[in-house]
Amino acid sequence: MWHNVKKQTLSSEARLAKIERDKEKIHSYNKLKDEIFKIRNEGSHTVEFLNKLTDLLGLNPEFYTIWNIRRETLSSLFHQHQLDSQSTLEDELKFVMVLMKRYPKCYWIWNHRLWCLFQLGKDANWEFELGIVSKLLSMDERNFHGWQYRRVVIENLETHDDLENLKINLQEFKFTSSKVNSNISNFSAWHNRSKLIPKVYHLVGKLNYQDEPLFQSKESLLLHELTLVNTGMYVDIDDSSIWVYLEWLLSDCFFIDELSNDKYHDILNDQLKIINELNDLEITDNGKDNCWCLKAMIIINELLDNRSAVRPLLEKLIDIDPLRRGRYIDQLDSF
Amino acid sequence: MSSFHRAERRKSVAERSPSVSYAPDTIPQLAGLEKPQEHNLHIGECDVLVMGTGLVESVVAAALSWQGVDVLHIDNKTCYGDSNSTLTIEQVKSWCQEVNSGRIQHFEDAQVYVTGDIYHPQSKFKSKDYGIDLTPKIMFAQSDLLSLLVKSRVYKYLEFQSLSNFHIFENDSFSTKFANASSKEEIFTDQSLSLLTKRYLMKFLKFVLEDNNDEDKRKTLADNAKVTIYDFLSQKFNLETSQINELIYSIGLCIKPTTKTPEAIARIRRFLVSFNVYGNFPVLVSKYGGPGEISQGFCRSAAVAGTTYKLNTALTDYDPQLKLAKFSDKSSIKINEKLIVAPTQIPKFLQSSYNEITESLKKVNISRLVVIVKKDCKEWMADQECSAMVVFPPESLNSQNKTSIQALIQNGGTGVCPPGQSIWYLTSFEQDSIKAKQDLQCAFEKMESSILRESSDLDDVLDENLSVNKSGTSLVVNSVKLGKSLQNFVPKETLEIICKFGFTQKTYVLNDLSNVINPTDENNVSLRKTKDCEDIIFTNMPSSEISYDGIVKECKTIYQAITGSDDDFFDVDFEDDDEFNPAGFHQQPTTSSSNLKTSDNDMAIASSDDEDNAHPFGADEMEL
Repeated sequence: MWHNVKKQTLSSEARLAKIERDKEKIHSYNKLKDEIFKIRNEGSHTVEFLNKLTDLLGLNPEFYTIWNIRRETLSSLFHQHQLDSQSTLEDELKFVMVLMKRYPKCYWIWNHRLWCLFQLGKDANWEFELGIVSKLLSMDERNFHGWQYRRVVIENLETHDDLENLKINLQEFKFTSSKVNSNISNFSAWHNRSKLIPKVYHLVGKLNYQDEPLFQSKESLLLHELTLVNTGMYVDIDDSSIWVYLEWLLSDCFFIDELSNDKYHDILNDQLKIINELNDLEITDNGKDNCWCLKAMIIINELLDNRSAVRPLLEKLIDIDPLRRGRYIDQLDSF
Repeated sequence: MSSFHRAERRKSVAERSPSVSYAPDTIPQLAGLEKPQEHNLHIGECDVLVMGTGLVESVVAAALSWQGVDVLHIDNKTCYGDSNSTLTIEQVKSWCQEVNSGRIQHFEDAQVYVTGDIYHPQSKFKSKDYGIDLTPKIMFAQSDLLSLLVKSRVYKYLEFQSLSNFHIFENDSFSTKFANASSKEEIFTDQSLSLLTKRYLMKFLKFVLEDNNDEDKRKTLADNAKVTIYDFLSQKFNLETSQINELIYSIGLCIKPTTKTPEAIARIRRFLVSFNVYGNFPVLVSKYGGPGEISQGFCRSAAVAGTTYKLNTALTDYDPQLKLAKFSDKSSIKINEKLIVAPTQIPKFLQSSYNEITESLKKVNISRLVVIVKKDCKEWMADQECSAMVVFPPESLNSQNKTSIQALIQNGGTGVCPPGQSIWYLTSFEQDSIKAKQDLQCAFEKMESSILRESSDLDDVLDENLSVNKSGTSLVVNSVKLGKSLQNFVPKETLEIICKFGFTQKTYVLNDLSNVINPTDENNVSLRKTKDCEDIIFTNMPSSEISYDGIVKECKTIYQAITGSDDDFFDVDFEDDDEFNPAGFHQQPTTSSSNLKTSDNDMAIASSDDEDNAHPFGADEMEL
């Protein structure tokens, strides 16, 4: 959602006005910061000190040292029984939530949220966290913090019951399908897919679970994913995420270790043909090769050990992709 | 009691969503909206007199008042909205009489037919349960008026609903393809499109979405400035007629096959960029009525900023030397600056000036047919939605329509009619009004047989389709039905009609809005000079445009004509109530930690189904 959105640039007048307006804010921020470090050096952990930290983080949640001090202070206050840990931690979660809505891409906020949940231990409500992160990803589907957080949440929802775990992860797999369908240009979703596929496959095999035809063999799984990627290539040839996912599909040992050599070569050659055709279309339309097609063709040829085919492709790239020229020249040395 | 209370009318916006029960010190009470001034006006002077409470006039009134201009806003009718009114059935009837007796300029040939139903003493529904728009409109999620609604906070007075279904009628059947979901997703997952078609469609969409300042795009558009969009799509993007029609008439809402490429691309673009602004739909409609509601919303905002309102009042005389205006209620008021006059409110003494101004301008006819039917037409609407669009491309009807017919369908869920019923607004852009009527009737009949078929006995359809479709799930049935040709269908029942209402409206705004977007003192009514009286600015009649495009531009043109610049148009610094206050999260030592805060901020995301949702997640703070 935030990609391809232009950052607003203020006119110089507006910027000066903003600097003037911000002066006071900056002054009080600095005063508060100095005060906090002074108290910190004195080693005093009080509720008032905690509230000062709250104020500062409200102004600037990127200040990670303050988050560390906050955790140190909270632990100490719990230890001294100055604050009830459970209700305080629940308040912390609310505080974090408000900050997160304002700064959805701040590492320390996500980190603090997890800390709170781990402190809560068995009282942590991971189902609720899944709801939160789903909502976040529906609003900003490419927030990688959200995707990472989602994986942690899922890990914590998993139990010793393999069947339950399989269901949770199948659900996750479907979630990535829906995200990829709605926007193929979502590398976080493709990436999560690459994490889920081995996990689900493993569980399906362990439980001998028959209800998911897709996960019965690695080969059918691979072909299914390749169809998806091929559609993606036709829909948006310049989207990097499908090409990165394609490379994973064609080279990860999860898939290739179990394929016979002949089968693997067949798949690679088929893929090479498809990409070649697509590249020909590009040449007809735009009068030149497509960089992504050429790069993928290089990778596949390398996997096929067709070393002689790589050189001309690299030479074309040097020509049509001047920004990465040096890299291609380097690459050329090894062929 | 003033006539405002006596006359039949719909609930006003102010009554539907009243302001807070207390009156904050800084905001004057909303006198003049719930209770417009009675008797004569108790003011001696004002800066600007606005006549007519149509959408443009209301936005201008609000914009001026928020800049501290003293505005008096009157209307010669007993309800708000003027040419943009949302009327009850009774109001429609008397409106038609007035039109046919020539008392409302620019409207002609009004016809209304009402079944006895609503007059029956046992009838559950009364005339007041209907809100019929004179100018039905849909709002793109990314559009200047929507931004203005947010900026001016007028959106808080209104309720909006999504509209995602755009049906197109071709080869005697209705279909919907990629217009119905986020286009990219549909194209990606649609199994019926070949990879090649997908590629060309996406290439085209990418081209449309490309930044308008992109050099290649500008060049392509300039090179094709004289090429019709049809030729452009078939030659440059190898698309087929059915896809082209959908792009031009359904997504682009163009009205003619001769639409030139740059205009059509701009129209297609506004649809595509509107996806995922507020959700997975391109268009919004306001509840309880369209422009009629929105104009009231701006009137209300204007009233908050100090505008005085009086309905059922007309200007009877104006002395340009003394700048003295006399009104039908016998009051006289000095106008310091300008008079803004809607074409339906022109007093006799200004008629000749107006005629002179409009003499050389091209007149555009808009013909409408409004039908209220006893069916909720859910079959046409997306899940959870209450509105849909149906478009008939040129040449798709037996009447050989030369321009497209656009139809907006809204059922009881939008608050414009009782549940189980719906209003169909059909618009024709045909200039020959006899032909326009034929086209409208023809389109109406197609819609009628379609809705009867779709809501007819499900079993017949099921049997028929199961043999065709092996997978035969119930989900498939609906879409097969929607796409099925109408030729062999003879309706067993007829559609029950509550009210049928048609009229022709004239405007000097061209269909492509070119004289609104680039107004000059040659082409736009508001910028033409009157010889006799320089203080008068006439506004335009509503355009034929189905969206709200052009409205804000018209308002700015008038605003600029009065203040000299549109730089401060709605440049209002409302107090920012979004400021985050960390003090709400202060802890107290254990003993009292349970009575902790219920600040507005600590809403969890999961339950934040409030108006904050209108803003994207953390939009203000996001750094890229």
